[in-house]
Amino acid sequence: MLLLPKPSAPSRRSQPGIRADRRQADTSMTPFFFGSSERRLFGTFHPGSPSGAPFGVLFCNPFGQEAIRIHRLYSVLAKRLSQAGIAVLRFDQGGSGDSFGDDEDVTLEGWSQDVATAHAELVRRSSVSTVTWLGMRLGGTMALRAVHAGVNVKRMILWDPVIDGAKYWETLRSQHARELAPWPDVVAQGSHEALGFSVSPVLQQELMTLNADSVTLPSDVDIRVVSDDTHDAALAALVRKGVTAGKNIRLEVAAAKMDWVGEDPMNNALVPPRGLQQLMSLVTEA
Amino acid sequence: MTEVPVSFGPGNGLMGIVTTPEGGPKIGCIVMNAGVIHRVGPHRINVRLARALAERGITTMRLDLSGIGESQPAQSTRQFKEQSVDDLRAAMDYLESEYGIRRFILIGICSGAVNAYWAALADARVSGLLMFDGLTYATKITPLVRRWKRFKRASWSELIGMIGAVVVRNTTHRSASSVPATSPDNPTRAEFRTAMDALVARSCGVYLIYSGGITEYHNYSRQLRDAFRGAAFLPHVRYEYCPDMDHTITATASQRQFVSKVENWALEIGAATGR
Repeated sequence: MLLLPKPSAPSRRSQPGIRADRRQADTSMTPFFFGSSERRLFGTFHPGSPSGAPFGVLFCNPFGQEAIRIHRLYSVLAKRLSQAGIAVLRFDQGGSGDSFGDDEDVTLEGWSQDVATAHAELVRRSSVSTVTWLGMRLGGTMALRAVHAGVNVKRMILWDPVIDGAKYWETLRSQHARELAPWPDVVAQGSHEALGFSVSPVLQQELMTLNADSVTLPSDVDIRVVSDDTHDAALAALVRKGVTAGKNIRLEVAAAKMDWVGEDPMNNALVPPRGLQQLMSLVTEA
Repeated sequence: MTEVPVSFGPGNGLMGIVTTPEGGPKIGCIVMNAGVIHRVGPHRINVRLARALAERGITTMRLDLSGIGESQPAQSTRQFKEQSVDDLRAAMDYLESEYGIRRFILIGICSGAVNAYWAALADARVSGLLMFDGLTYATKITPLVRRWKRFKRASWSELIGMIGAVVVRNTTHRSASSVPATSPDNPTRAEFRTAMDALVARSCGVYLIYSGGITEYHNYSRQLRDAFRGAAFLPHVRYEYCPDMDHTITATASQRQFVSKVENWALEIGAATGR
């Protein structure tokens, strides 16, 4: 019975292209908890090298099922960046992943504070002076909310950031209904949840008021927005707003289409090679 | 309750997070990957389980098997089944040496259930085995129920498609079977029966839960009993069919229900083994 795919034989030898020195980078990865005692966050730190890049990279997770889907991609990307000498911190925002708290406690406001906490932790651990933030979906939105004058952010890479919150909620709910199609009563009873995760009334309210007008774009930060749907009205409005205001913002076509919520990884790549390559380029280019 | 990320096993390549309660219980629990999902499990169910179990006094590790999540790919060339058993035994060794725990409960969902099954057979320290949508054995009734359920759920256009498929099948004399094959590694009916007898004989508690999301393989509440009619192990294992749950326990109500079932059963196992 294997509806969820079984991983292939986990031998290192079966993975072409893995060099002996990669093992060192893997073993130097450090999983740990950080943050205040009231809000313990789980992070995985991948060190850079002393002669490596003078900046680090902070990965911001999407919400719910999207965060589960993205875990493998983030893990592989973090290892590659670490091998290239760049320090990376992956972390789970409060109420998600291995961090403490429940999904009922998740708010955009709380998550934005978590980004700032994680940023400080990355700077402390790696001694870098500036940090690039990478955020996918709601992780990108959260990054936009978290950035402020006191935080030294070099670049923000936002992959399919959620700009139209109402549409996002509607999409999650319709995917939820599709996933549970044989159980319509179950779907009807759980109106405050989506794809396996509770969504608090506060978060729902925050999503309802999220749109291009409500997003404040930072100054002096290089913002790269990546999407396979560059005609998305909300994204286009955000970029237009930024360009009009003289911000350093650019919209790029994604090299790979992401399946953000699928539970059938047999039919879609968890780590699309072209997407991975594009992310590497976006982080490392001058 | 405290949580600590730990590394152990060959080259410290395996990673898990241990949730410990106040006090020092003598039974531990290990939850693991389902498919390629990292240690948090489908919809974070392993995190919810680990914390609920720790609240009830049971130390729990959520484990990444070799090559999944934060655990490194293994150095050996062993097949996934053997490697999974090695990984789970390494996790038990670690919990025994660091926490003094000598009895374990293994909880697996989908492929995790199968991995837990092999490890339970290989290691006598396992006192409890919970398999959610693990190994399935069809009866003569299973395909009939499957077709009936598919028929009940179908829209008009799907019904027309089904009738068309029957016509095509009858005219081309193809096999009527549409059941996908399960993994060839999975035990035969006789092997499963022998394994269950062995686990029961050594007083290992077994809890088999089947969701309503694997209709192709298991789809009615007596299927296991019909498949193993008269088997000695049957009265001694807990078996439950939960038609309102899906395969990855998506609905939060189902998650609460699942966690509650596991908690109560784990406490019974703990009590039976003297914790």
